[in-house]
Amino acid sequence: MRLIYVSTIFLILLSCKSKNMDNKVYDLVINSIIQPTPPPPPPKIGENNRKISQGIIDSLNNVPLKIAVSSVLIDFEFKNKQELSFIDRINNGKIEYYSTNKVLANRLLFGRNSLSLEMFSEEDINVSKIYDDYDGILKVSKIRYNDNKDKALVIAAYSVGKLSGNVVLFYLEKKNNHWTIIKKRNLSVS
Amino acid sequence: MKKSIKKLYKLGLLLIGVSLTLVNCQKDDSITETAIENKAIIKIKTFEELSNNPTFIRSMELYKGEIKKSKSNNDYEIDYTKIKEITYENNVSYTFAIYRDENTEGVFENLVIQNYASGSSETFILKYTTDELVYFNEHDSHSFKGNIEYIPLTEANMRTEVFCYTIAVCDYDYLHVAGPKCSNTWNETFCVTGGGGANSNFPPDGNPEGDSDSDPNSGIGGSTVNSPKPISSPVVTTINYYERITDCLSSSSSFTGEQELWLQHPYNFSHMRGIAGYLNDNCSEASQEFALLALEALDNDGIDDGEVDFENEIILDESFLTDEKLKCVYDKLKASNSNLFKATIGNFVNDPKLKIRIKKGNCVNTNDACCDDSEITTTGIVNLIIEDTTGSVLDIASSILHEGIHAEISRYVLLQAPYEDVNDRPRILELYKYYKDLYNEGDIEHIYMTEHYINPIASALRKLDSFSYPVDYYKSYAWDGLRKWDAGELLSMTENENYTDYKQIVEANTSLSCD
Repeated sequence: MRLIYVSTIFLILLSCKSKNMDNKVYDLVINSIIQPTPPPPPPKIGENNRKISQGIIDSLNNVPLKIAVSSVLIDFEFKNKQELSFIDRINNGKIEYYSTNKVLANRLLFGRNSLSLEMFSEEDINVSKIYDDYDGILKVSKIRYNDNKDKALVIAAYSVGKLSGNVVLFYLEKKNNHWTIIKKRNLSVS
Repeated sequence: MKKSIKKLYKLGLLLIGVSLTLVNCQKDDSITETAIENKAIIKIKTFEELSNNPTFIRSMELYKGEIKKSKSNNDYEIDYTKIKEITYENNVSYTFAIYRDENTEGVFENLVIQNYASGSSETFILKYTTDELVYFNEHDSHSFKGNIEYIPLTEANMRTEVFCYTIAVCDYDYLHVAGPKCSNTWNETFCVTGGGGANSNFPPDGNPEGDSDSDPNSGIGGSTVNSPKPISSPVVTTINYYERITDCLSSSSSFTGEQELWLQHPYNFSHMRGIAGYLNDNCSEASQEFALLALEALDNDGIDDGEVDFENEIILDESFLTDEKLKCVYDKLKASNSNLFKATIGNFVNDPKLKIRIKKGNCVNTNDACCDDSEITTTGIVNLIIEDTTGSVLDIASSILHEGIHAEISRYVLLQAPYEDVNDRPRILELYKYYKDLYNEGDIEHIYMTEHYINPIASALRKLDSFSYPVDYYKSYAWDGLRKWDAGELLSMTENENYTDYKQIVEANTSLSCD
């Protein structure tokens, strides 16, 4: 009996640990893909070495945004996965991604403090009206980790209106207990 | 009469398995001549081989003269690469496969120029309509049941009497029309009542114990009272399109034996011609890849099926083709041939690596339309997916153009070194570099589109709408998907409101419809 209790507690702890890791990965992805519009003014023509300043980015990250999160979970798989290493998949290889019938656990998604995320079931999202009340709609996939749990792939889709959305594959690595987005690959744009 | 019908019955039995000698019959180039009984000879020749033959030259002059006088539908292509010449005594005929742009499944036609020993000649078309066509792999031939129609090119050639023509028959397992591979052949002549377009069924209908004046055993030269001028014509559906494809694709490991068989089936002829035409004088690696994708789309095997726009090198997915409204909008858009269409989707035409596939389907990120370039680095294909087809023609056309621009930008960026200076179209790379720490590629493309594509989209839609209104009336469509990305504040509130009002006027009055 004692063994069962211990095992149960151990499993719960493992589960919590996993969700913490998911949270960290999702936070990075959400903070990357969700940005306010309209964009800051573009560079002048010919200013081809300019990059947007970190000050502007930080400022924009403080803009409060109200996001509708679709509970529909995206899933994805790779063609020829035996031939490709984990990291190669971010750059190459055909990726099939699609919406599933699975539902995302609400508490996994937070993002930065300026974001207010609200979960909707697919049936409750009225696409023609939701942009009147929300700045965008977010969907995410489940996270694929490598065996060492220090590399992760995840897809996020974010749309801010008609003909205006992205699907992005993110590759993240964990170093010194800190997750970082290493690379993004655009899969689709509307 | 009874005797004749009995003979017709015999002929019917002979022709139960009549097969059409198709492309595969030319696989062995060393076999180009078949001697058959009654001293008739079938030869398969090319136009070049016959170009110095006086009888053939005279035949072609006759044909040219008749075609000028002809009132029938002569909009067809003649296959000059495989011409069947039948010589019986001093009668010589030339038979060509002909192909029309709108081929009907199961129907094929032969042009026949018949020269008689007497010095007279005639030209006509034999139209074969198949009820049953089965491919026999072991003998590279097809059994045939159906109808043959005699169509004279000119009224002067219209036969009012019974006419006869002869088929070289092969006995190999079953009876069928002889091809060059057959070693056991003989002639069978059959006769039908002539007229503007005489018909004969295979196998012939009727009472086998009946009677007939015609004599199917009379051979090529055999004439009856009612058929003084029997004609001899083998069935020709041969063309070197197959060889053109296999020559080009044989080095590709992706080209399968199943695909080869599929190409050989006559029902797939128009597809084979399309692929062969595409590969003509262009067997680059990229062309091979597109041809294989086209094969996959056309073979109707349940995987990635659809049609192929060879002219624009666009794969039209089956999901797209089955949506009549979407297909209608696309056809109108293509027909309008706007500068934007040519500069976006049209740009893929001459691209050696990248192609577009248009689909009707679900977009993960929106419910409208999307441009999926997730396989651009592997297959070279950019997928344009249209999800919402409930809007107006102009709405759907606007979505196709919008996603076509994304496809073109993806194509352009892939071909350039990202984030590096280039002399041509540097602005998109300038914007990528500037915004890349903040926005995703697709977002940055939207910013670029606000600067460069509002007028082109509006102009393209205006042209599609037959220039019914000034270009501003179409700008609301052009701004769809871009309003939130107006980094340069190019669209004022007043303009946006005006454009919205204009759109309502256009929608209320446009004659464009696909419903």
